[in-house]
Amino acid sequence: MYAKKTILLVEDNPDDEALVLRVLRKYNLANEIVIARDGVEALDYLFGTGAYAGRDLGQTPQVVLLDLKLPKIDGLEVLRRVRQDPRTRLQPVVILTSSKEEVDRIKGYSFGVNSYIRKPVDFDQFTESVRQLGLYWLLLNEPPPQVLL
Amino acid sequence: MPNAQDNSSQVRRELEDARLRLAEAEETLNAIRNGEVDGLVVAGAEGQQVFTLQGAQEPYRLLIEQMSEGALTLSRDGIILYANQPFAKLLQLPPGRIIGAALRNFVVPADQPALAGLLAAAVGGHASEEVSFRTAADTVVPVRLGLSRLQLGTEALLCAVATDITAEKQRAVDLQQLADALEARVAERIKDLAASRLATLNLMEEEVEARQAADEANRCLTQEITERRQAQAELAQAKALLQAALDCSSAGIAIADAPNGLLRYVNRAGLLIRGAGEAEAVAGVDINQYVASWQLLDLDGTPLKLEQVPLARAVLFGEQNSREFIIRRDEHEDRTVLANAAPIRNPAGQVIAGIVVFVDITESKRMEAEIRQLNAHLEQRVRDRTAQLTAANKELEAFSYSVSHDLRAPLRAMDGYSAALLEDCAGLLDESAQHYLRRIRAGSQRMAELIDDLLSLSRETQAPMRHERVNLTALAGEIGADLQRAQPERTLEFVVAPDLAADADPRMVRVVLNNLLSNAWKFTGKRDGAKIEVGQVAGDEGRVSGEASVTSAPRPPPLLLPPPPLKAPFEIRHPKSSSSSVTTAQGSTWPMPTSSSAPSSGCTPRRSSPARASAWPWCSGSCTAIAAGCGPSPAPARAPPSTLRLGRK
Repeated sequence: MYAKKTILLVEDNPDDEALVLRVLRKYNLANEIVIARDGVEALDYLFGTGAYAGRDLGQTPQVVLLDLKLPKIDGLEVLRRVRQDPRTRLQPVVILTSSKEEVDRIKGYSFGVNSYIRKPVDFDQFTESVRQLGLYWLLLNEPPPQVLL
Repeated sequence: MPNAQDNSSQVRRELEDARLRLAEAEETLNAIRNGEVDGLVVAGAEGQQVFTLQGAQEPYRLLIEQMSEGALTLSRDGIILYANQPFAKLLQLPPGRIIGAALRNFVVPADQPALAGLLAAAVGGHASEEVSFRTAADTVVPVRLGLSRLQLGTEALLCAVATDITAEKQRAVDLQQLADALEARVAERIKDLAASRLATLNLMEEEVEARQAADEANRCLTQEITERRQAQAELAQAKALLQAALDCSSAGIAIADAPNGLLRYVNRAGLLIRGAGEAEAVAGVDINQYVASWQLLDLDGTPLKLEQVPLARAVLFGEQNSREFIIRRDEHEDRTVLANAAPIRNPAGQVIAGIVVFVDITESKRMEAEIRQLNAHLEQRVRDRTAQLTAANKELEAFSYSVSHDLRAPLRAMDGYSAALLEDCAGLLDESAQHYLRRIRAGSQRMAELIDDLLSLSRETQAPMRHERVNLTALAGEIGADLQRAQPERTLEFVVAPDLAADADPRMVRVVLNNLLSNAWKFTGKRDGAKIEVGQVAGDEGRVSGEASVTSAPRPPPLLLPPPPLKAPFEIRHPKSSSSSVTTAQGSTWPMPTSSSAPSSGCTPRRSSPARASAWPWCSGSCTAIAAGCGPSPAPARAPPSTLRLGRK
């Protein structure tokens, strides 16, 4: 059965959101892009709570693009909870952030992130990064089997 | 005819002989007539015989014969020509046997030498000697024999007088015997006297000894008395001293009898600590009363029980113990004391008393409390300050974190939207509008790099500096290899001198070298045949500086060398500016600490020498930095800007 390929973009900065969407759309890399503007929204979507109560949890995102500095619940906490929950523990998560702080990278990887990408300021590089990211996670990468999620 | 001749000659000889004999007889007769001859010696069948001529010198002869001594006439060779009657009696011989004999025949053998010497001496005049004669009865007679020369005409004879000294000798012997007897008696008497003296001496000695013994006994007695007095005085002195010590002691001292616990003594300080007057009578007071009247309290303020009082414990249980407690006084403030008590035992080990020494420790307790409080306060301040510093550090970290996250987002928006405009609306925008958009993009990107550099600097300076030996050759090689891997298409010469080393913080040095070489790499990017060289040049005072020089750069290569203001691992001076500064890769300049304000990390700026610059004329700029561990060095005014030198000792 063909599964709709969804990306969950967790991003509080509307500019970054717009630029990411621009690139993804330009290269037709996503059927559906769900935007969460803080950590709570992201968790609500993933666990079918809050505004997303009753959502079909069988529809898991192909990848979660997670910013770190977020209102309400920050990105690393979101990651920690995702990994703790048996329903989402294998969910591919990519940290997409402005920071390349060592502490962030260490925590990210220790909490089980699948990849850590730093958003370049140079839009040409940014475009290339997001393009490759989309290609890799949506087309190349095989997601974990649904049954395990 | 010989017989005739012989007869004639014999007659003639007989005649001659008769004539001679006649002449000799006539001469003798004449001599006798003239009285020159006293006697005649006639040789006959019975030997020689002397015949005296009677009548001649008769008076002398009578005298000679009458004298008691023996008288002799001798020839010079000692033949007796005449001897008187006494001499013949002496020898108990008839005179006829004596006259004509040698005198020596009558002298005992032992005196022969004396006789010979006497004869010889008498020729010259007179000599006398004692000799002994042997008589016909074989007795020995001692004689004093005097000899004198007797000149008769031309003939020299000797006359001798022999005096019998037998009686004299006998008297001498008797005298000697008398003397000996006297001597013996004297000796005996002396001996008696000596014995008597010895006895006296012995007696005296005994008396002296007895007297000495008496003296000694006296002396001992006196000494004993003196010593006893002295001991008594010392005892009194010791007692006085002890009393004075007890009185002067700042520690309170109390003694109580066992087992009744009656106080026997409390010293002045003890009374004063309590607050009582010196005149207070304590002797014989029950310790229990005192405990009650003194109001002894434990440190927590509860009243002290009797068995908790150190002196009471010493008296009651024979226990050495100590305790701090409070004495509450009627009209005065409380005093805290430290009391040490011990039992006093008799030789049998029984407790006969107890002594307590107590010291007023109120002040030291108060000071202790103050110090404790001060310490607590200080510790609190340290904690506060540490907390402040920790907070400041956390804030700084938060700031860095925020910068890292938030400052880049607007830049990305600027760059992103500009790019979107250029992409989407290129047809609507003229060339200058597009140029402006590109400038916005360039500015955004440079700002992003500045932010990264700032964050990097902030991170590097948070760690403490450490000094160790760093292999610069290996480090430079690693960085060069990284650069080459990043851009494999670049072709340039990268030379690192061997054995470069420095005492420095390895992390900092890596940042320095990385920045330097990255910049060198970047600014030779557009030229082929560029050369990046890392080496060393001799410095002052035998030091060696590392030098990284960039050649074939068309313009001064701006370097990014970010020394932190507080823990500067190295320092840079910009040659064209009076204040130090560092130039980033993008050309912005940050203020830097000068050498005078830099901490004593031993880092000073160095620049390449003018000679070095002239040797490398295309190297239009240089910038110098020294790693930690270098001493001061002169900073020449004219120096090419931008050679980085890494110094070492």
